[in-house]
Amino acid sequence: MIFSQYLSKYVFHLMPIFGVSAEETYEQKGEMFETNVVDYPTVFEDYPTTKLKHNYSFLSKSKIWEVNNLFDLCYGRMGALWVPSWKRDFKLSSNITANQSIITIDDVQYPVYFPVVPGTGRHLFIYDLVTNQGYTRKVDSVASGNILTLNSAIPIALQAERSIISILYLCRFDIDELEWSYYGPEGNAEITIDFIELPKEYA
Amino acid sequence: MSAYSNIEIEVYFPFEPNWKEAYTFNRGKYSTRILRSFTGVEQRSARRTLPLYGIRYTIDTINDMASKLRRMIRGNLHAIWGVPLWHYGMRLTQKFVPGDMSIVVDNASNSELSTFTRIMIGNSYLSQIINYDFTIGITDGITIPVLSTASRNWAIGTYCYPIMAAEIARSQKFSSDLPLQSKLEIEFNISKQFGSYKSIYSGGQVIDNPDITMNVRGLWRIDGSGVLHEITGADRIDTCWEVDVDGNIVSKY
Repeated sequence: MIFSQYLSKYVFHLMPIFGVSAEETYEQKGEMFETNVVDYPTVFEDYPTTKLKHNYSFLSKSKIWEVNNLFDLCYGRMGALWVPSWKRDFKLSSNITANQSIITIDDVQYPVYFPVVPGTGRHLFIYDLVTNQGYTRKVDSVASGNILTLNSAIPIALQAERSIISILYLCRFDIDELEWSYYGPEGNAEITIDFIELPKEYA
Repeated sequence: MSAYSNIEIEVYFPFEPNWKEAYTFNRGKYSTRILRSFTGVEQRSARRTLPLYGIRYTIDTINDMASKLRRMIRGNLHAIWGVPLWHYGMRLTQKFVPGDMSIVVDNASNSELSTFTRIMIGNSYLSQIINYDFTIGITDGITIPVLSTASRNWAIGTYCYPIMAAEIARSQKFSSDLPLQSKLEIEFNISKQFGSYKSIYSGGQVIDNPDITMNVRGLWRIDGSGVLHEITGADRIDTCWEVDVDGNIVSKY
């Protein structure tokens, strides 16, 4: 299995093709009831949901099999998995040395947007563009608004400009089938996969 | 332990796709019921544990092949088809010749081959259907044991494809720009359960051209020892059989 596990769930760690555009959509269902005097906003959900639409390309049958296998393990939309946003949601303030579990990020009012409760933004995917290594970590605590204590150290040194820190979303597949587009008999194929966040299932 | 199956491959479909056009493989049509609450808590229930497959591609044919394709489709809309998974091509790395009881390919590991019972060697014009010997299985990732030998010499580099049992949509439309030409966008719906079933009868006859393919009927079953039995008489109209893990028929419905 090429997909490793984080907190007992698989991490879909494959980088999408940005040439096809990696989409990230936020939704919160609601309705505006209008009168001639005043409008009444009504929300149907008390949280925003994130949806990810990523495009992937493969050149081998074995990789495709791994994706299919993961899809089977999840029974389509049934099971949960981790998916990085693959955006630079946070940026290191400065380079860090190896084996650091405390990192400082540029101030983005982290505690305001990501409160210290189980939920969005408390799990990170830290990706080193130099070695192409990714690390999944949980934020245990926040100090001074931008100093994050991780649940375990990052084993390698990271350069601020050559690394990205993405939100690691807890998701499920948003569609009950995978549609592969093949370009030949050797297993060269592309696929677009839709994920949807499960905001209330974070540990 | 027993399993139910009503699968009887009646005709094989040897027409290769036009790779220049879209070839889509829908893998895993699960059915999940989801209820999402106001606060975002979800209740999810799976209604299917085995996914359905679907395959869709375009075929361009001319002359005799075009008329064969049209006849074949028209006469077998009701049938269960044996459809090669064209996107899962495996190349012979050793010759497969009469007397050989195994096929050696470049890569049969990490594949979904384990869920199939038959393999097609060749192409639209010349092909052979062979039963995979699942009792031995693929142990080294490249050698596929088979239950019947080669009908002719197959050269190194020849493609092999796993075959799945599939249904065809009941309506098929051909488009022709010329009287001699036909183009068909075909769609099959495949059940993994069809393909994964190990000990069911299958059309294991050798075919040499699409004309003969039309006459191949899956009136055969393989018992647990790998022996082929012809299904005759009233048995032919049975639609659902209960078969144990060794391939012995327990009862019919």
